[in-house]
Amino acid sequence: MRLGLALALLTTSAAHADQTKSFLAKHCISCHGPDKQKGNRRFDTLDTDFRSEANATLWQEIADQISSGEMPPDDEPRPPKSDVRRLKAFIDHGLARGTAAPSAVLRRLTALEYRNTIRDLFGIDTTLFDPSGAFPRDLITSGYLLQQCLASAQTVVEKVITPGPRPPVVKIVVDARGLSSGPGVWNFDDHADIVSRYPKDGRLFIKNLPDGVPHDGHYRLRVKVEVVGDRKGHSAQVLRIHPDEDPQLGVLINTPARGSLGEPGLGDHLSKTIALEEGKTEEVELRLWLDRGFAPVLTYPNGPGKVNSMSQKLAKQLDIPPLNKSRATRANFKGPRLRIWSIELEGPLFNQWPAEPHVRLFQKSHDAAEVLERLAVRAYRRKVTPAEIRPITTLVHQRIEAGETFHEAMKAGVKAMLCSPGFLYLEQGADGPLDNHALASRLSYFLWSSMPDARLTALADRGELTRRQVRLTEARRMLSDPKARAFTENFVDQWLGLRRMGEMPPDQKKFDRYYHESVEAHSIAETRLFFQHILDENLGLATFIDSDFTFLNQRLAEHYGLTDLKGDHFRKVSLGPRSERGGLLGHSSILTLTSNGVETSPVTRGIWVLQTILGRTPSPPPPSIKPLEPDIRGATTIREQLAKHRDVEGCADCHSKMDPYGFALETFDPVGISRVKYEEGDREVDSSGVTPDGRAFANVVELKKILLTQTDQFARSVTQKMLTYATGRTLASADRVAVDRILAQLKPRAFGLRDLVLQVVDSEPFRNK
Amino acid sequence: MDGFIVGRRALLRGTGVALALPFLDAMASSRAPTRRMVCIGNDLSFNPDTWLPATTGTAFKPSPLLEPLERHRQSYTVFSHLEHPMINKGHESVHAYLSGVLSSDAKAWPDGNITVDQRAAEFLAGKTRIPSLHIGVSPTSGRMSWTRSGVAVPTTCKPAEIFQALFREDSADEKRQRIHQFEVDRTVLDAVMAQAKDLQRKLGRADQAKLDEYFTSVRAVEKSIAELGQWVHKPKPQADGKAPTNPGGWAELGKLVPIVYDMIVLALRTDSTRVVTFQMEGTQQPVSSVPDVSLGYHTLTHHGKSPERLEQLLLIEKFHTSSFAKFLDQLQAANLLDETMVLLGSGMGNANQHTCRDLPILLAGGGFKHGQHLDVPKGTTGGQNTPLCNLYARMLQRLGLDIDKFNSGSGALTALEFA
Repeated sequence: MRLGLALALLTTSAAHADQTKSFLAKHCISCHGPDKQKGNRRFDTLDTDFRSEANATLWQEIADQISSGEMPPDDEPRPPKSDVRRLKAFIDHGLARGTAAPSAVLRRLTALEYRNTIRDLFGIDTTLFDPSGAFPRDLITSGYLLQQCLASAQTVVEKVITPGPRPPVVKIVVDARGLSSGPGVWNFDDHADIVSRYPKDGRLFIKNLPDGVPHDGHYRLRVKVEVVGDRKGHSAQVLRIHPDEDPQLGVLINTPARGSLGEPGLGDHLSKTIALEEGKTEEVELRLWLDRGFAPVLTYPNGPGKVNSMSQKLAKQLDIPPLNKSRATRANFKGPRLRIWSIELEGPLFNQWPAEPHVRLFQKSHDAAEVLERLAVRAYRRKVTPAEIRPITTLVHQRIEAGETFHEAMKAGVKAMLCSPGFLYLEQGADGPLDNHALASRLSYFLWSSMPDARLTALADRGELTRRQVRLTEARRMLSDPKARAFTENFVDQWLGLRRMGEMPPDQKKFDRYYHESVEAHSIAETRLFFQHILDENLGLATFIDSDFTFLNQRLAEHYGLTDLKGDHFRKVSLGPRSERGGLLGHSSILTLTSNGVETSPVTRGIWVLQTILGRTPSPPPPSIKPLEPDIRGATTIREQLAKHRDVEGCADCHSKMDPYGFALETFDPVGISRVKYEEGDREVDSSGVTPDGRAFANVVELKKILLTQTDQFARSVTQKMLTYATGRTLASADRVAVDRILAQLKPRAFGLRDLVLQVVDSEPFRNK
Repeated sequence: MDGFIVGRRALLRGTGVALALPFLDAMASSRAPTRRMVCIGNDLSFNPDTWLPATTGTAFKPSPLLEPLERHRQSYTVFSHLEHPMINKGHESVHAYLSGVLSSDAKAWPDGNITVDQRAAEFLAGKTRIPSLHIGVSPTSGRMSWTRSGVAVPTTCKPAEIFQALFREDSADEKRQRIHQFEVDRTVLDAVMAQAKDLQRKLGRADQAKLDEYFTSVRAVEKSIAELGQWVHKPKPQADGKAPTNPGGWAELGKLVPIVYDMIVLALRTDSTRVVTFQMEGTQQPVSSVPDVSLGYHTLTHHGKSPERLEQLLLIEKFHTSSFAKFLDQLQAANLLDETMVLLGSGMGNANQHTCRDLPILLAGGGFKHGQHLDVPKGTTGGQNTPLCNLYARMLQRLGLDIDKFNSGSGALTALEFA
């Protein structure tokens, strides 16, 4: 009986295989066969062994292309619907039975995960201190990486294990003579003026702190500051200020180890912005956390722009001699400035000593094995046997015998723990279902990019995480925790490619305002807030394609040409229906990162839409094709040049699929500002086009309407990305079933983003190694 | 030439650093040559129209960009039709300049995407205090040199930092501290190795393969601790005069490049290292210190054939080849040029088109028969020209490595003869 059934299946499947072959022969082989291999695809030699991942991937692609109607191309006859259905059934059947889903492989913590895990393991502040700062971005373990791990671990243990006396509180009081100077800071006998907000120019700090503060800790900062000059009295355009805003004092934190405090270097940390009153002298007091080697920097965040250009223009306008370095001309300057009279810095201030991380680690114990075991359970994120950590306890005992103090020897022990594979790698056990602790780690690294907390660990200890309801409840709790911001930031960075922002920076002269107003940082914030809101409110994924709202502050709103928003804080702003700004395609972050900093490329932007929204990866250009030689002398537009390019047969197939999306986005310049004309040659922007499946659009608003009809496809693409992110492995064709299941659950509920996260947590690939 | 002095004391142009000798005995002719390698990469390439000489062979007529090098005509070879096969992704390919392998493809190659400088540094390991020195012009440089395990070697853009590494003697306390640190690290590595072996027994095959990386890393660090340890007690060369100040993060190209060349000469003269890379990452580099340039460097490479942009681009690129010529002056004056291979080039061919075909490549010094424009065999379509790695194989051979092929190359470029 059983044999008979198997035989029957075999025959049907053989018959279906034949039908499939003839389908391919009829509709596909002329372009993807022995004579031509368009898009580098050949199907006459493709066999039906679905166990091969390479085959399975190609079959998958055939199913997708045929059922979406993208293939065969428009000028070929359409295959009958029944044939398509049969083909799809055959492929789905094959895929479902073909390969087993692969398992995740042992992987190292990413740099970000390492940093967060160190934070949570010891309860230390990693806002300024980045123990993974020198780690390469990849996940390879190399001699270089291990050397960085040793160095970082050394710094960490020095920060955590502090048995020595409480560091003395030192109060530094600095008057005008002790204040730094710079292009945007003018020094006088009894004060210094910050005259520019330009990030490189207007930075004032304590001159005599060349290596930053000597100890970690909280510090009290007091600044005597006066707002001088008139914000309204001069041309706002020349000063590049917003006259109506209250003047602000900015406090940044940076480290001279990155070069000098006089430049942003690899990144200022914005600690606080304080609103001041015009014409008043105030004592501002703040409490700051400073890691060893860091120091505060004062700025005038909404002060005038670059000093040179401003002062020259101002001199011209007021018909006064141009400002130069002489104090006399500077003293006569009536423009707005922040006058700093004195700075006091006092610290480090501790509520208890030894500080909390030390106390928490040792809990008054002097037993190496006890302390190390307690730490190992959390550091390795699983149960640990005493035998396992014996090499480390032995190391500590040997050092004590050799004459080191207990705490000194423990530094070496903890250092070893932080460099051991148990800490650096995410262990997930054998193939098959994850055990409770592996599940806890998977959840916490997915949603927090960090180690499990006490509650999650306790649930794992009790074996409760294998229960579906418990897992989902935990996922909901974790999403509401502030640590879940790591998910938004990290997932958005990877999914949308935001981490590449700044690799092709916009031209500094041409896009001067982009730098003056720190548009890059604001636009990244917009995209993250947008994602966070969709997640919090469980809005549908289609919101990413088009929305009637976004998140803006004054600077970014002005960048977009909207003028009635005041202040630095971001808020939800209604755009109204049919706005070109709605959805991700109107975000300056996306539009900037898909340009090369100089000009826009419909090809690059088209590829982004194709990959990110539609989940398709175009094949690379054939090696023999000569790329476009941009020529801006004549009257040809990029569109005309691309049209010529598309005349070449090898180019047409792919370009007709990606260029149109990019054309629609030509309405935005390389930093995402709306435009109607190109800067060069006075030519008008034409953002119309025809999608590969033949639908015409006049502009980006109409294109988004078309893309909305492809929401299912978009949802599939996002689901795959998130599942990959959550499991830390590439998906294979066998995961198709799991993806389909998630999509089937989500579709009736409009593909809510929060639902998607929970579905991912509930999915089979997530629960298995 | 800017008054460079050869002799027992040398005052270096720009930095005002005087070196107290003894130097390496570069003047002694009896000893075997000390081979060195300097690789300079300009991410934004050189405009092929002004870079390539119109004629080939020994009688080649210098192109506008090569004119400043006329006084070194007999000391360099400029190539045409060298490129990396299969690599043509614009800016994304530039990082494969010295390897011929994209970092994303590294897994498919036996030596990963190791770059020619790192291959040289491996070969020369232990011979100098600094295994290899990597300089960039901005804090974001650092994708030009890659190790065997696929890690990008970080660069420094701070001349003062290089100066310290070369000359500042650690205090007795610092030395003690370093030795102590090495000793701690050795015991730490022993302990983690024991744990790793324990873990390995519990893992499945795929996981074990991944953990192999960890074992290799531990051994690599043990080796480098041993190598570094032996240098702690050896005295550094002495320099009187002050260290250069750092010109700041996004330093002006015009100010930074000459100082960097000075630092490279110092490093080589004192035999502190024998392998140097210098990456000129240009997308954000301010160029206003180059006279008559008003637009951004990256913008200018997207010249779109605009005559005004081309004119300004030529000024910047000529600044680069002139600075390079002065660098060769310094090497020659210090008797280092014949022993030092100096590569100047880019992983990008035509920046306006963003192609990586027909790369601009020039090799000076190092003990080759130079004085020519060497047109190597050209392929019939793009991507089929002579692999640039054939030149790299040749350079490694000159260094003393017994190899016949490097990464994506097909052999060694023997058309370039040893002198």
